[in-house]
Amino acid sequence: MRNTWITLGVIALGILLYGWQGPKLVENAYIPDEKPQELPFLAANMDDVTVNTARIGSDDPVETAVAVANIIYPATEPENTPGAVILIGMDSLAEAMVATSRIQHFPVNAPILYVTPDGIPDPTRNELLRLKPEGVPADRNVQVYLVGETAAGANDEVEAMGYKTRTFTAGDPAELALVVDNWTSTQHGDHRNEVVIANLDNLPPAIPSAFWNAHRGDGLAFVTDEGIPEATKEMFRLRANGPWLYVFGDESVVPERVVRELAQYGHVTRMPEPDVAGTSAFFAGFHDEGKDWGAWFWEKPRGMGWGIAEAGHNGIFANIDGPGGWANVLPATTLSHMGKHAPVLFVNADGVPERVASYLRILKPYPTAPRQQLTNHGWIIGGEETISWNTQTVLDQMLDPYLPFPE
Amino acid sequence: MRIPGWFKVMAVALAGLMVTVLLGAALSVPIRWIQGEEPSGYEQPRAHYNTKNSTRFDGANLAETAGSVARAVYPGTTGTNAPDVVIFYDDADWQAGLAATSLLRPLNGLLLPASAAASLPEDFSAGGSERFGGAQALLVDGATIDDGRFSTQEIASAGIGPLLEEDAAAPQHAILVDEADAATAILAAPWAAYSGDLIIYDMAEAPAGVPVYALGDVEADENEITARIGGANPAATAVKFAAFEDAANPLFGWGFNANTLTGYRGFVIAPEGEPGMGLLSANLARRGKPGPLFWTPQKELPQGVYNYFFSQRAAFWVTPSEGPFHHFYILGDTQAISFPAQGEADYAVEIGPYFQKGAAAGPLDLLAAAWVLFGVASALWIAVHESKFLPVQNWLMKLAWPLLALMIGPFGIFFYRLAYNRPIIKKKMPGDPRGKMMVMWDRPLWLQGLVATASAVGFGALIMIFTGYLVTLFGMPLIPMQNNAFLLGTPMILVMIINYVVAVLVAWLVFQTPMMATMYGTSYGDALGKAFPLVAASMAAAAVGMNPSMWWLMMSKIPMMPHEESILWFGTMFVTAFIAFLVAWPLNYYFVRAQRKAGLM
Repeated sequence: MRNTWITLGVIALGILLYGWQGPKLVENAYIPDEKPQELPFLAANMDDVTVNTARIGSDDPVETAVAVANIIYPATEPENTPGAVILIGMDSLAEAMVATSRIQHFPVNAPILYVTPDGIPDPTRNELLRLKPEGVPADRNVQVYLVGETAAGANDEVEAMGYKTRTFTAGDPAELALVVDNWTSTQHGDHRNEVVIANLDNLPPAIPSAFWNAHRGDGLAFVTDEGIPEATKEMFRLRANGPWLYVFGDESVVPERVVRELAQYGHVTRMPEPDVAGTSAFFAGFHDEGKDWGAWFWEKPRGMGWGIAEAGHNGIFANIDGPGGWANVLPATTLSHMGKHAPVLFVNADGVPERVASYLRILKPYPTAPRQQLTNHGWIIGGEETISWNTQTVLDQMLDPYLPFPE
Repeated sequence: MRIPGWFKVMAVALAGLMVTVLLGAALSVPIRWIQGEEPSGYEQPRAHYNTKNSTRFDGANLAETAGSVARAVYPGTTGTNAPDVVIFYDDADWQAGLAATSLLRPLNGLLLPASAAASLPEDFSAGGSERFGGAQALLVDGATIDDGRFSTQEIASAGIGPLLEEDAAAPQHAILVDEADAATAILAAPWAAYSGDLIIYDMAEAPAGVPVYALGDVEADENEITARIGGANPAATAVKFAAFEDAANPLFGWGFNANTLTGYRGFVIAPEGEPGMGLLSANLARRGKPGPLFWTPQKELPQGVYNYFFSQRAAFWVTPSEGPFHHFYILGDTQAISFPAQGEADYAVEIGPYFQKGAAAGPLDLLAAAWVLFGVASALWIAVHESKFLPVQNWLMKLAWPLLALMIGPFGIFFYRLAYNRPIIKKKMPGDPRGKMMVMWDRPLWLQGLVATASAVGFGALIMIFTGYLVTLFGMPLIPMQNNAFLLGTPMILVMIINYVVAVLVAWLVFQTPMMATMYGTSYGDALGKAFPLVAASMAAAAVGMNPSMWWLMMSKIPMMPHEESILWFGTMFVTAFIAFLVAWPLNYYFVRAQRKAGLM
């Protein structure tokens, strides 16, 4: 009897001790000792706010990426700290799309930051130290993913900071997409059958898909003007029940014969728009659902697209022709993953294209009682050279329940 | 044969270690919760101070913050987003400012403290109010401004009621407030601005026939007022007012409560002790999205307010893009309201699934916690009971029962009673030269199967869960594969494989072989070979019970795969141990029947 009490006492003491410090000791081992230095303070992000919109970032993609990570991950409690961070270079839109589309979503839960061929810029480095990513338990607590050759070059520097890393590289973007597809399919124990098709020879119209994928984690595969690369065919073959293919762009973006070839592998649906503003507005309203695969005792439906066609939703407003180009747009995908879960809509520096304005007319909220008032929110990505304050206020009014739609 | 004393000590120590780490880890969940009440990151560098669910008006003082709000609400860029008139009140006279909030909607106005005139953007202008002969600024109760850009007219706050009654949209309700209690009275500002309802400081000012709502503990004849909205302090009153709805008069009140079918919430947070900051919320509410006002100290949100925000957490049915989406408007810089306080608000309303309502303690967490607590209590009771009343019980079974009970929640004591509330048999211990007697319990075959399962699962499942915990803590392995065997590289599958291998090895070497040796009076070495297939088979049965249910619960049933820092992880694992027990039972029944296992100890 005495032995029992002693044993129970020792165990109880051990439980208290381990409960108090044990898990924390392990977690702290993943946090670097180095403290973050100051980040560039973006005054315009505090000055350019309206009731329905907030500006995020500047005309410099490195800063915009940091500003987006700032807004999504306060990192003041475990619950608002990211699982990991994804580092990419600014030299390949295709690689950036693979990273944002296939890695960001849960269980990884990561923002995008940029590195350059010279290494890790200071804002990126300090943001990495501020975020203190927790590590992804479903991938040996990896804290930083490096995607593409440029980012992979920074691996040693990131490891020296004390972070656990995983790199993804391949000979070309189509192969990189396959490499990452293998990784994420293994992690989930399943292949996503809904697959976005982007043309490597005209990528911008497919950018809106990266925002959806950050939100949902569907597939991404590349074609070219010439046809379907071998790696893409292999990705299709790995889907035991065949893929559902969503082609971004009309015939001027993805040629008709390429689509006919794609139809040999899976069912093809096209977003028939010639440019990125068009595909963004079209895809924000698009939704496809129906059969995926299964048998009478268990069936799995497919689902693709935001399908937003009423008030009470949000928009990420971006401009691909700003000083930062596409690189100033892609980090904003994290805003589709968390918070307002919004689709992207492309605007000009000084105006809202008619295609997008007419879509926003559908989303316009209207006054009702406060308890059921639907409201919209807009994120304005980039500095005032990318999207002007004037355009921001026009969008604010387009999203407002009480002010008239500006003509 | 006799098991040497050091071996027993080692086996008990190992079992104790596993229990210590697992329960310690489970205990760290509430410990974290208690310690985690204090957010961190007060000193962190930032590129800006907005978050996904909050917008900050980042002014160093009232005038600057007011300028920022003015620009946000009335950018004046499109011809339809400028004010007609700016209403100035003296900074020290918040009562006049509050009274004027009712004018904002009918006059398309902006309400500012007089000191803010200098902080307005250079290109800021007002169209002029027809009602006041084209005046661009109204000066309430003798306020003065040093700004030549506006044509001004003076008005008296006492005249606002009569003025509005002439209006086509006369106030439909009045709110009675205490002119000596700024913190409570100003809570009425956003509602007055949103609805055009009248603010009064005295019942005598109430227009005839208009329902009057009293805010806080303002003095009033209870027969004259329609209802009183009040809590123990301004923070509690703020929550009451935000949630208030009047079934008899549905046009009054925000009605931000759990009865709302679907609602988008806009909340304004101002630093406590700064009436002017609070009054700015009226301008925001004018636009229909920001709603009720709350006060906060600099460091952290008041607990009652935080709890209310959490109760309003947004939840989606199918996908998070469906909404609703909530948003906060923070008035003042981080010296007024800290960034971690803003982070608390941001997290409180982040949209999560209906099922379990996000990552906070939902019904599933409570079930998990109850399961774990039942297990701990049962294990303790059994450990004490068997030491006291069953001194002759085999030491390994003495160890196995509390371990099993720990994992199987409410069922442990029941099974234990089934097993030991039986007649005993005394038998000479085989192979013991001193002729020591061994005590066994006379049990039917199905019960012998149960006891054999108790020892197999008590040790086996505990080892599997312990291993699973360590692997999850240090990160599950993942081996990407590009072929049909890709499932083998999946973290959950790899964990299952690791758990099984470790469990077979440890249970075989430390627990089951000595048991076998004792039972049949053979040496440890001889028992090794005999025990291995039995351990491998009963662990396989346990794994067959445990793993699919673990997969089903963690990968599909629970919205977000739980980590080892959530009580759900422990709950799920312990529940699957119970399922393992049920699955392994028939197999052990077969082993007992075939006389390959014993269930009499």
